[in-house]
Amino acid sequence: MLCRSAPYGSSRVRDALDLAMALGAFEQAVSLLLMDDAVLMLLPDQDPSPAVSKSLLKVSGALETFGVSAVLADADALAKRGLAATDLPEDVTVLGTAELAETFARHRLVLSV
Amino acid sequence: MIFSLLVQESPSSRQSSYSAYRFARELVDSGHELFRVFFFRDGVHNASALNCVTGPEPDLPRLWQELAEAHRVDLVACVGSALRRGIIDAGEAARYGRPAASLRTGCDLSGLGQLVEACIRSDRVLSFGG
Repeated sequence: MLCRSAPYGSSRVRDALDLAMALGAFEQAVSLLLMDDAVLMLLPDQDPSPAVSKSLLKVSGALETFGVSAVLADADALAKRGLAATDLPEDVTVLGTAELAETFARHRLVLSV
Repeated sequence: MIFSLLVQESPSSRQSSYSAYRFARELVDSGHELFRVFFFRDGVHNASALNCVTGPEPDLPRLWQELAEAHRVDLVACVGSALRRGIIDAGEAARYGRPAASLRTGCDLSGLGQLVEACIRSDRVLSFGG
């Protein structure tokens, strides 16, 4: 699954995570690839409580529980936002351009939400 | 080849639903099987029975319904997305005490499992508006 939107300001990321977890719950091998502003959802210590009803931090923390086997982040998107792999949780895999191409090729289906 | 489509945006404000419909038509006209069209997020407005199109623009809920009837395509609106947007069948209208049902005939309300099944059963799944 590919997600490119900022985590707050629209329901898109919430819905994307719901779908990723549904795929995992039905025992499909699913990876969640975050590009563009979507990488921001990986940052620790989010406190969106003044802005939205529910933090995505707990939802994203539940991904592994629901069978989402890999969370992947685009290195270029991180660099453009002044972020490094060390800013992210340890279980996130950061991918360069060549690895992104290989990742797309390796998956039977790519769903963009 | 077996296809399914994931339609995510409103038919009245974004182009992607009409693009999905035109693609669906081409699929069935070319002899492919269209297994399921899954309406997700604002895409559930494609399943409205109450929309009124007065100008020359395409009436997508009606077009989807006609396509489904002609080619036995399974139309499913995500129930979570649909409830939030007031796209409900008679059962949900009764359950939540709403004065009307708004889901178009020929489309079902169901969960994300239907999209997962479409992913399993289809050779290709195309996402419109993702």
